[in-house]
Amino acid sequence: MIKLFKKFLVFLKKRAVFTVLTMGFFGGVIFWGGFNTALEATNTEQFCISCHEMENTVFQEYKHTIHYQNRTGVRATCPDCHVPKEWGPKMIRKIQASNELLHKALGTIDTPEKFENERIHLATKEWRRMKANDSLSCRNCHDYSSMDYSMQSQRATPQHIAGFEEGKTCIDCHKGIAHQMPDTSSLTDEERKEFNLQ
Amino acid sequence: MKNSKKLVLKYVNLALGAGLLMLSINSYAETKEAATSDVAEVQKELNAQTPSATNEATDSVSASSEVKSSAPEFHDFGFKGVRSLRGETGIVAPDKSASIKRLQPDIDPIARNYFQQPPMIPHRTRGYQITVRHNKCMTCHGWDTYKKARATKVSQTHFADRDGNAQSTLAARRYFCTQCHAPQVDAKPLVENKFDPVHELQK
Repeated sequence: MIKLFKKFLVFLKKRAVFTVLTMGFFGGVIFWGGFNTALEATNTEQFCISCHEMENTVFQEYKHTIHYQNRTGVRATCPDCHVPKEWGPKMIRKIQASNELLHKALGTIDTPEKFENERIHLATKEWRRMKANDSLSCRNCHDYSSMDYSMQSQRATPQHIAGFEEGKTCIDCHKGIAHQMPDTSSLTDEERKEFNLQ
Repeated sequence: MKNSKKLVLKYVNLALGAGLLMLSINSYAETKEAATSDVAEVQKELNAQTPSATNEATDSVSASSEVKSSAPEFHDFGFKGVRSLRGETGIVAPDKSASIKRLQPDIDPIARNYFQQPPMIPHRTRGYQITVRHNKCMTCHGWDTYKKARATKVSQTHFADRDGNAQSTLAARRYFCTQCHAPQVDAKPLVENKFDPVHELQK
């Protein structure tokens, strides 16, 4: 048995390049698989609400909305709206999100009162992000070119047609649909115009 | 010889590692088994309890059948007894669950039945927030937005407080729209109603 093992070692020594390549290949597969698995694990609703900052505030509000519970049972969970689907933008968003770890440590929103004070700041940040990418995370499911206006409600049809003609994007009107709308009275006139608020 | 000793040591190390791994897997499996057996025990207890529960149920059923069997006596006199809103369901039997009423899609404004009636909401309002921070209804029914949204504007009466002082914002007592205005479901009236609106509202 020991002899066999020795022979195997000799074989490896003779074909060092082959050995390195093989190990590199399998090592790479394992590393990449592990990295992706870990990344996907942080891209789930369960992970998001593992912090009480998320579970006690925004998640409770989201539970009453159509993206959480609806007729057909198709759901949009946290990352569907808050993390881009493509690899590059996803990586950028994930790296930006490491800032949240700092604020978790600082306890920036660790009480309902603190969260309430930051609500408008957090919301405008997300509105800006969605406006900048043309509401991409909405459009991953709600494709404008696939909308049948005749099947929409009496109020929605003219608003959608006019809105898209004006070059508006989803978030311009559909604010506060998954979480509660913040008090917008503290915004300046320019900001109100930017966010299409009256 | 030294080399082979080292190799043997390596093997021993490997074997030890494998043994530890197996141990940990075993202990994990045991805890899992224990958990499942706990569940099984609770299930058994529940099963032991259910026969008595079913007995009670059959008792109640027999009671209700007694009530039914005594009904024909009333029938002989041509008197069917008082029929409550629960219908023919016996007193001890569980109530029939009501059918689910559906909110209607958008329709034209609903006519009022009397002058003081708050207008009913002719559209769905799911997800429309009326919170301390934001009133969704006012994004269409507010004085600054109703024209663009082609919606009914909120009445001027809603800006007066209880002492009749005019305010520049919605009065607190009139802020929560759905306290008076309600979206409509497809429910049919439970009892016949012969109420007629006043002439002016009949058109």
